[in-house]
Amino acid sequence: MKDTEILDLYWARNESAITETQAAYGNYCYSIAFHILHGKEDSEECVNDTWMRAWNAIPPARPARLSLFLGTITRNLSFDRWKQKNAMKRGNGEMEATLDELAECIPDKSNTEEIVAQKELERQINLFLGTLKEKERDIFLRRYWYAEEYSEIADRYGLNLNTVKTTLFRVRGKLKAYLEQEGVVL
Amino acid sequence: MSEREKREGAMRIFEALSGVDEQYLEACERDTGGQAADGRGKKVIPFAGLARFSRKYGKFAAAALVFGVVGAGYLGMHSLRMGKGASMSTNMATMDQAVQQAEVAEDQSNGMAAGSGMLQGEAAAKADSSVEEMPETAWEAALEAAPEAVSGASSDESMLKDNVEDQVNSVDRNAGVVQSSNGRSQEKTVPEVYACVPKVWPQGCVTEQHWVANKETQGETAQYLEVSGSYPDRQETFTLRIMDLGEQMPGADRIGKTYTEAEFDESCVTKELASGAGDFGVLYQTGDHYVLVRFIGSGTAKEVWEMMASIRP
Repeated sequence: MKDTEILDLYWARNESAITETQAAYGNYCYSIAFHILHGKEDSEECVNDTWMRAWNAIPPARPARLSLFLGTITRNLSFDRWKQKNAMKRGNGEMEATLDELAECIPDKSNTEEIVAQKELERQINLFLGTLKEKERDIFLRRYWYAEEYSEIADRYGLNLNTVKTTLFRVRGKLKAYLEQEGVVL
Repeated sequence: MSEREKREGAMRIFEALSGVDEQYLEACERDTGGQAADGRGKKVIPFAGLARFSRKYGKFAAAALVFGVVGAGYLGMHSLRMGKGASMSTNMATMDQAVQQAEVAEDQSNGMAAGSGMLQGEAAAKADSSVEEMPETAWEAALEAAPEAVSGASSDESMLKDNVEDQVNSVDRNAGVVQSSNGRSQEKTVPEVYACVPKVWPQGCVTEQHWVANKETQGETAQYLEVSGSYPDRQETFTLRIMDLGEQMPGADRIGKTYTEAEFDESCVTKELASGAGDFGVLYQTGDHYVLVRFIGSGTAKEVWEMMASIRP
């Protein structure tokens, strides 16, 4: 079923919208959740919560890309759940490595004086992503939006594992420099 | 900046990425390195599962294949020694040999022979189970072989037609002369393989050499020289399998890295290795070819080490 048809079901408040959404995007959303949570039950719960959020949000929302809309909800729900579960405790899993790597991008406080809001940070990150080459951006998002493993990214783009690691290392360096240059404090 | 502050900052970036422009995500899902996408943004790679399996388990699969081939070769040679292998010779000695080997097999099935117990892993398990079944069939084969031996009616050609996957091509004790039904590959194999025959044998040990051909499933025939060693004064045997691997070295990244994988570089052969392993392989290089010498069986550490260390291609 096409996205427009699924959206029509939501707008008609037809509950089969959820069934169709599950059939079309269940695996996609589960994959996003699982990469963050690394647990079957938690991932399934996040996916189910995603359908509920979507049901409540549509209407009035009518997303242009249903997959991204649902994927973003799943990602946020999964990350919230991950934070609850971990509560800043260190553990294993891909999320730990992901955050450790992103921590390299944090500029020193001494270089900046003002604190920016989360929206401003989003804007800055979008601007930064616009400066990257397409391949760099794709790899960066695969790692830090989808929380995919290096090997998965290498498979996806037919790249050597070391190429992926090197690319991410360079992009993190660029992001750090960009945030410092823009005076962003985290 | 503390670790905690860095981590909180990382989490803020991770959260902020949820607000990334959809066009970037869309492009990210669309661009899969030239691969087709399935309409949900998921990449479709032909044989991706196979490639992933190969990368993760390729080494294990290769090792299993090697053990399988070696095990099959071992079993095949055993059965041929006791059965149809006897018909290759056209003299009366064949009958005697088959009968003797049948007796040996019977002894083995009763747990009297040590050789089969020295094998390790899957090959050993297969060998043991097969040995249990051998005596009866071996006797039958020996009896069948007798008329042929007397009349001299056996031929290599008929052997090739009705033989099982593995066969002994010919036997020429300790002479290093090889007669084979597959002359082309045999000629190519011999120099490299004979360069890797040990120069020193354990004292009191009696050896026999056989050429063994494994018909693999891909239709290619791998041949190796098998040297069987036994000690008349004690219940111990060993087998050396010397196989030319050609110019391609399979599993090259494993060689010399660890002692636990039972396959070693030449430089890794030590007394410790010889004493600790009843089944291991050593890779030698002679000219452009790699030759694997596999030791299966038993002996004192000094004997095994001296024998393996004497291989200087």
